[in-house]
Amino acid sequence: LVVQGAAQVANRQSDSAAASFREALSLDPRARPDPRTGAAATTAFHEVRQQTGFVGFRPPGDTTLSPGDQYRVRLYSSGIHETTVAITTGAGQRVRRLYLGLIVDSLDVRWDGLDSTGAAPLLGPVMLQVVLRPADGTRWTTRLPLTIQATVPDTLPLPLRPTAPVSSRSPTTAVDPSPLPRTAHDPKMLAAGLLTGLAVVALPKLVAADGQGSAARFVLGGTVGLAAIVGFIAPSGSRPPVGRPVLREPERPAIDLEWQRKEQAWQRATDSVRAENQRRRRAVQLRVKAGVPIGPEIDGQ
Amino acid sequence: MTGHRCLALWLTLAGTGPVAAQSPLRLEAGATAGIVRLRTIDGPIATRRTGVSLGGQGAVWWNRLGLEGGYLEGRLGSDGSRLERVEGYAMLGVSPVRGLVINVGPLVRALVTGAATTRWVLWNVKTRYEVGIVGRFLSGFGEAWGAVKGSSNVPETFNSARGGMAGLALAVGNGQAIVRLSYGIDESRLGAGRRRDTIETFAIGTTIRIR
Repeated sequence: LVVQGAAQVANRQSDSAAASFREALSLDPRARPDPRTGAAATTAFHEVRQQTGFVGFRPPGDTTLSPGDQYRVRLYSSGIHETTVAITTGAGQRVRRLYLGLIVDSLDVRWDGLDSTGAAPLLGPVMLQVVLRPADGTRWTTRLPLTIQATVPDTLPLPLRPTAPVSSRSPTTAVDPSPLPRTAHDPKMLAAGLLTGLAVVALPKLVAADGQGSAARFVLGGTVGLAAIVGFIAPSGSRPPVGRPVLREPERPAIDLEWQRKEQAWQRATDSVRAENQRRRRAVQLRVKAGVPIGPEIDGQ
Repeated sequence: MTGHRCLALWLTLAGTGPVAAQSPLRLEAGATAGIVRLRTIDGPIATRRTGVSLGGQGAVWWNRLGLEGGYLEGRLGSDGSRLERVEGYAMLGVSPVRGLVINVGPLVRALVTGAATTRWVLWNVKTRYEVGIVGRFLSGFGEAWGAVKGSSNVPETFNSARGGMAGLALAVGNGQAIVRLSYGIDESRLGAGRRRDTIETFAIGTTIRIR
């Protein structure tokens, strides 16, 4: 076709020559006239080159991409043009731009297989879209279909969250035989303490036929009652005795502490599993298969 | 405090262990020691003995149901009136509401003298209630029990047995261990009340939550 175009130039059939040169470039954007071709034909050929935006693709064969790998496609242009290379959806919506600048003869574009965020693989049919803008203001768009499939490793199940202790859900349903904790200034606490002290003192009367009991029980009963009174009237923020450490941290029942430990252990295990799952998702392998180029579509003519 | 009356002096084995209270399974173990006064009134004859006893107890709880057991032994009196007291019990328990426990089970008691051994088997129903009186760390508790059936190898016919206990419970180590200071008394009656055996106990003990 180049030789045919050169002959047509020599015969002053310039339109036919231009058509021959265009067809030659459409088949091979790297087509060039033989050095022995005359100057007039060579000049005519290069004028056609600068007015056309044919692009050729040299993709690799079916390729498997591991994380960090790049899918490389070499582009060949018919001329020196402003070029935009992007990954688009099948509908033409741009997902990720790979290159913006001049293409002189050839260009290597690389893509890591990820979407615009760079975090997730882009699956399904996509297009490698190349737009050339020759000097005449036209816009030549050529697309290379790419089919991308992923091999995703199985993710791990999250560990089961430990059930909250019964006392944390509702004290009324607790099965713990230990007593319910109460707060300061609780009249029920005072009454319970006084009744307990009274029970200590009155037990012999209630149990023994002669009602006799050790006088030492009065000490214990009095201690119980006194403790209840002190616990009731002492302000919660009262000063501790001089020289004693101040314990401001509220006491927590062991049941809560143990549950907290289990909850924290569960949280650590969950974070670990999530990190591993994230790593596995990132470790997805992509199979990329290139199709037959489509185009060019010429706008602005 | 007079010499014939009991003084409480308990040495407690204490320790701490992990607690997993949200598990339906609870294991508890403990030790008690103390001084006991035994009064035996048989017609016109009254005998008083005092001494020390040591023992241990344990419990397994699964949700609201539990099994409790214990053993203690001690020596009462001195010289010619010396008497060995050995006692054990095993009781099934249920905790219908928190702090309240109802137990049913046998208590076996042996009073051994040089000449003879008196054995008792009492089938008891016991109710125990524990309620906080100062914050989370100090509670009061009381219990009462009665024998629904009893037998003894003494000549007199068994009439009744009942008892009670009350005291303080101090939670230490974030509730991993509970120290109890208590006063208890029980009395068994035989022969239409002609013979009465009354045992008073000042006790201090520790219960450790193993699981």
